[in-house]
Parts: sequence; C-alpha cells; structure tokens
Amino acid sequence: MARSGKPAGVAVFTATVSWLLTRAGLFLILVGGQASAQDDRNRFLDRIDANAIIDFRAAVETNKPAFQSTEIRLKTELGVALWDNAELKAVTRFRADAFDKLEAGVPSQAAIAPLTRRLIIGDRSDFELRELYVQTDVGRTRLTLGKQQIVWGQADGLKVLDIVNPQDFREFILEDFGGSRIPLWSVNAEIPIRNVTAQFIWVPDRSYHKLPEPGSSYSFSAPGFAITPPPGIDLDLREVARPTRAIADSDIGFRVSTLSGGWDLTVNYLYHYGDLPVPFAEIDVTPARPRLTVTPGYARTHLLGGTFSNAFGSVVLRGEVGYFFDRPMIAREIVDNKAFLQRDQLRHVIGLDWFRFSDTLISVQLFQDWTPRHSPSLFIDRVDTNFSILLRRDFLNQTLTPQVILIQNVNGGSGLVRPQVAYELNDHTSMRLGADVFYGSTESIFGQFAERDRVVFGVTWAF
Amino acid sequence: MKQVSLRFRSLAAASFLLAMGARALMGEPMSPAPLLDGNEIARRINARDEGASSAQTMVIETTDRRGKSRVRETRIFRKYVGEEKRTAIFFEEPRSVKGTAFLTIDYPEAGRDDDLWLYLPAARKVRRISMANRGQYFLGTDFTYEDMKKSTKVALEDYEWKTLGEEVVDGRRCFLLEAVPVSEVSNELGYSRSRQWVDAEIFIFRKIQAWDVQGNELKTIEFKDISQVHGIWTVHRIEAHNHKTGHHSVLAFSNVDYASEVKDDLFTPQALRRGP
Repeated sequence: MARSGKPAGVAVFTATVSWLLTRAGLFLILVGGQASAQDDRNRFLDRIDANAIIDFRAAVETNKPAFQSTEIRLKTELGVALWDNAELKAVTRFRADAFDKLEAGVPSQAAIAPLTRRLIIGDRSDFELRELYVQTDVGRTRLTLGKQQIVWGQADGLKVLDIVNPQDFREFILEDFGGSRIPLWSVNAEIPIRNVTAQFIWVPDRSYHKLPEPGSSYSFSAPGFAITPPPGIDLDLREVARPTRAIADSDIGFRVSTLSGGWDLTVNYLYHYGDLPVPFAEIDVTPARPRLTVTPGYARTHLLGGTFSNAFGSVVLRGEVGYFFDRPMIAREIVDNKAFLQRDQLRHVIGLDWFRFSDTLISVQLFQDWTPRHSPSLFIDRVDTNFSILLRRDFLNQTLTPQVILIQNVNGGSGLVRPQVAYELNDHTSMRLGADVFYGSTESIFGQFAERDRVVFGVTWAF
Repeated sequence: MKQVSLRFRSLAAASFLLAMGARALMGEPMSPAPLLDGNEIARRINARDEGASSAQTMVIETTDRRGKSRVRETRIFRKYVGEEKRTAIFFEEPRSVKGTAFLTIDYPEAGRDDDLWLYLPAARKVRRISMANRGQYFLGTDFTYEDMKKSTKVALEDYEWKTLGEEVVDGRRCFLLEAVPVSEVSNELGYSRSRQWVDAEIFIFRKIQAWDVQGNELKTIEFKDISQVHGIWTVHRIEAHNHKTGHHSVLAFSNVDYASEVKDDLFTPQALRRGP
C-alpha cells in the first residue's frame, strides 16, 4: 500500500491534456475567424458529431415483489474533428432512479480519484463525465489522451484480462461491461510495426473498484468478499485508503497483438494495483472488548498474460490466460496487520463460439483460477472453476433476439441465469424483457444475491 | 421478357437467332457476338477490373412484408493485398449501430475459410467470428455473406455454368447463364441453382434469380445504375427481393472512389475499434 503523495505526475498529465484541449479550442476559433459566418457555421457543424441515448429501465424483485429500480439514463456523445486525424470525444451519463436501493443513500467515492468521480445529485441521481479524450495520429502512432476505457481480452460475463479499468459493482455483474467499467485518465499509444501492433498504456488515475455499500441491493455479504469480525470483537471499518503517489503508484502496461497463421494472438503485461480492496487490520486488545480496526487498501501485482483466437469452420476457439504475481486475496487470519495473503495465481478462460444454423450462436466458456501456493486461510479454493453457456438466435431479419446466459460457479454450487428477449421496433427504438435469477448458498458468490432475483423491462431510444 | 431455356447445345444457335430477332423487333442494335461458354463468361466476370482498392458509402435499406423499413449507412473499404481481398465495413448511422464494424480477409486459396472480425461498440471488444455457412444472411438483409463478399464477382470453384442464351435486361444485351452449385457446397451456399443475366459487353451482372436447396424460388437480385467511376464499371444499386418472406433489401452505393489511397492499417482488428 502506498504511503506518500507527490502530485507532480498528475500535474504533468493534466497540463498535457489541457495543452491539447487548448490547442483544439484555438484551432476551432482560428478556423471560425477566417471565413464568412455562414460558411463558418457549416464548416464547424461538419466537424461535430453529436448523438444521445435515452434508456428507461424498470426492475422488479420477485422474491418479495417490489420495485428495485425505475431508472432513466441519458447518455450523450460528442465528437469534434480537430486538426488532421485528430478528434476530441466527450461522453456523459446522467442517471436518475425513482428508488434509492442500488446505491442506498449518498454513495462514498473514496475508491475513486477526485477527478474521476461522479457528481452525486441527492440520493437518487448522478452525473458523470464518462469519457473525455483527444485521439490523434503522431506518425503511425495512434495516441489517445484523456479519460477513456482500455479493454483487453474477449471473455463474456466474467473477466480475466479486462482489468485495466476498474468496475462499478452497483449491480454486481448484471450491468454490461461498457456501462460498469470505470473510465480512467490514461495515456494510450498504439503503434503498428509490420504485422504487429504494440500498445503502451500509462494510467496515473488511482481509481479502483466501486463496491456497493451495506444496505444497497447488491452489497457483498459472502465470506471472502465482506469483512466480518470474529464473535466478541468490535469492528471499526475505516474508509478505503487509495495509494497516494502520483507517479510511483500509477499503472503501466503493454500489449502486443498480431495475426499469425490464422491465429489472433496477444501478449499482455500490466503492473498495477489489484482493484479489489484488501483489509489492512489492527487488533486492539486493551479495551474490555477487543476492537478490530480495518482499513481497506490496495496491493501491487504484476500481470503477464495473453489471448488467442481462431476460427475452424463454424466454430471459433478463443482463450485468455493471465499469471498474476503476488495477487492479494482476502484471508481468514491476520498476519503482520494484513488480513490477506499475496499468492501467485493463474487465471484462464477457454471459450467455444459455435455459429450454428443461420443466426444462431451457442457459446460456452470455462474459467479457472489456480492458486499453486494455496493456504487453508484463503477463502478461495486452490482451483476455482466457473463456466458459462450462452444460447442466442435471431429472428425476423435480426430484429427479434431471444437469448439465455447461464454462469455457474462449480466450487460453490451457485450461479446466475439470465433469459432475455430484445426487439428492435425501428432504427431508433428497441425494447427488452428479461430476468436475472441467482441460486445457491447465501455464502457463495452468486447465492449471496438469491434474494435479488428480478424481472427487468427496458426501452432504449437512440438519436 | 422471354426466357430461353435450352439444355442442348444443338439448340443454342436457334435460341440465339430468336433472341436476336426479338431484339431487332424492339429496335435494338444487333450484335454478331456468338454465345460464349458459361465458364468462360464466369471467368470474364472475375477478370473485370474492380480496382486495387476502393472506398465508398453503402446505404442498406431493408423492408419487411408489412412495409417496415430499416436503414443503415456504412463506409466500406476494399483492398487487394497480394491476392488477399480485404474488406472493412464501418456503420455510421443510425445511432443504435454506430461504431459497429466488420473486417473480412478473403484468401485466394480454395477451401481456406475467410477470417472475420466484428467490433461491437457496446462491448468495446473486437471478436473473431465465424459463419454457420456462407449462405448465412448478412445483418438481417436478403444478401448472404457470400453475396456480400463476392459482390459482383463469382466463386469459380463453387458452380458449374451453362449458357442458356441471350436476353435483354434494362436495354442491355445479356448472356443468360444457369449456375448450379457443385453438390458439396449447395447446402452451404443455400442455393440449388440460379439464373444469371450477365451484361455481354462489360461482363457485369444485371440480374440473378436463385432457388433454395428445396428447389423453391428464393430471391431475385437486380443490379442497377451501372456506370463508370475512374474508368471502372461500378454497380450503384443492388436490390434483392426474397420471394419466400416478402422481405426486400437495397444496397445503394455512393461516393465511390477508386483513386484515393486506402491504407493497409485500416484492415486490422485494431482499426475496427478506431474507425476509418
């Protein structure tokens, strides 16, 4: 866990982004001053691409029938063409929910860096600058500077390498990754070299997973996810402590991608903080009743991994593998004021996508986490196995799409089933009706939400 | 239009004379060109210049039997790298599909499957995809992936061609061919046979009628608004009518450009995410 603070790195990064934005603004002003007003306006409008999506979603819990959420989201996207091959992009999202259940009360954003946080408006709405970046070509290098999402890997439902950006678990894993990923202020350079593309990333944004607080619909309660003190001990749970050193605590990584012999291959490396907070704990036995003080924090890890995919007739074989060095994992014991252990862990997923008949997809995935130097005090098993099955078929010229996804944790015997039917009314409007059904023990990863089964109806307008 | 359906070579000359006579009655110029062998016509179709690379706007309009329409606007780029044909399609309108992108690499080796990638902006991931078969319909249209890939060309190894005669389509003299898939690919392509009207001067399709594997009439494809761009004969409108479903699809091409450079970097999975 980091201890000291040096804001120089943030200042350099902010200055760089500011310089680019200033240059963009000056450029637009100069362009505007050199021609007639009408031409200016037309030319300026030609450079702008703006659109918006309004999504209404109602979710009803079925075990004790009650609304969980009726939410409206407005997402706006603005693209402005700048100088040659350069574009400024801004994405915002406003959410308003009639019910205060998904994030009960005013949520803490302690795990999120100040410049990355949402604007919380009361208990039931928020506004977020989801993305703001300039993308430009410098020689053959495609440079993206600003708040953005950097996506690695190809797995559905669960993640192995898609960990550059942290995740908001407001709805556990039910929200699509594009919406739950927390965009970070980052530098992203992609350089094509012959038949290889090299990507370098620097992430000075010290933001981590956003976990739901107690009382929220999807707050974690299962052992290994939530901190529960032994009987007879008081718990003093402090606010999460983020690393503070701007440069030394930033994340860096690279990816090399190529197509060779029909195989899509990548090699990935990331030096980062694990996004899931781990408990730094102290026990004070001097009071009459012992007190356990826990300060959630973060620990460094290296990730070395890769991906592969290839098509064989109507089947696509794909996979991801990641070896995490000294990955922090919550433990039952406290050693050296740490209620967690750091162990190497191999995580992988192998998937088969079978494009059967016309318009039908059958997709299966096997995920495994293997901890070779396992300890009995760890909550996770030496080998933890999940699998998923997706069935999807398009009807009516791809306007009606029923699908069902099953995700099953083999070790805990718990899982999640998600049937859904989506219908595209026209070019701008689509509807969906689905359900999210959890099962298994309340102490298992999916079963902890067994009381949160729900039916969901949604309408999306895009314009 | 009178279709000439002759299976015996000895009758071919008679049909040719009938066709010429009909055209003369319609006041069209006569041409002494003899009937070409079907396979030779197919070869000439593929020999037609389509440029080393191209960039164009493609608008896809689909209409179901109730008249409900959907419109998609795309930018489509093609380039030959050696004998590989690379195609990238970027969806620009409407907002619901904006950012979706396809990349295909069509290899010259017979029997080697194409490589396909799909980028879905909601997932922000470029995924390798495959096809159940080449007869799978492309994005809810009445064109199969094979139709889209070959565009105005043909897969020589997949069909046996026979010249049935000549007819006039849209005022143009056309060879009428019957194309029968070789048995092993018929199910894969989704056709049992097709009739193809090929412009006798520029060797470009004017019309295709296709029957499904059960022998039922499946669809009619018409190629319209054909003109030269940068000296290359170009189809600007392709219409497909599915007779079984009543569904109708139109591909309209504009801003066709064979002259500007199309960079190799555009035809990579990474480029799908970035856009053109």
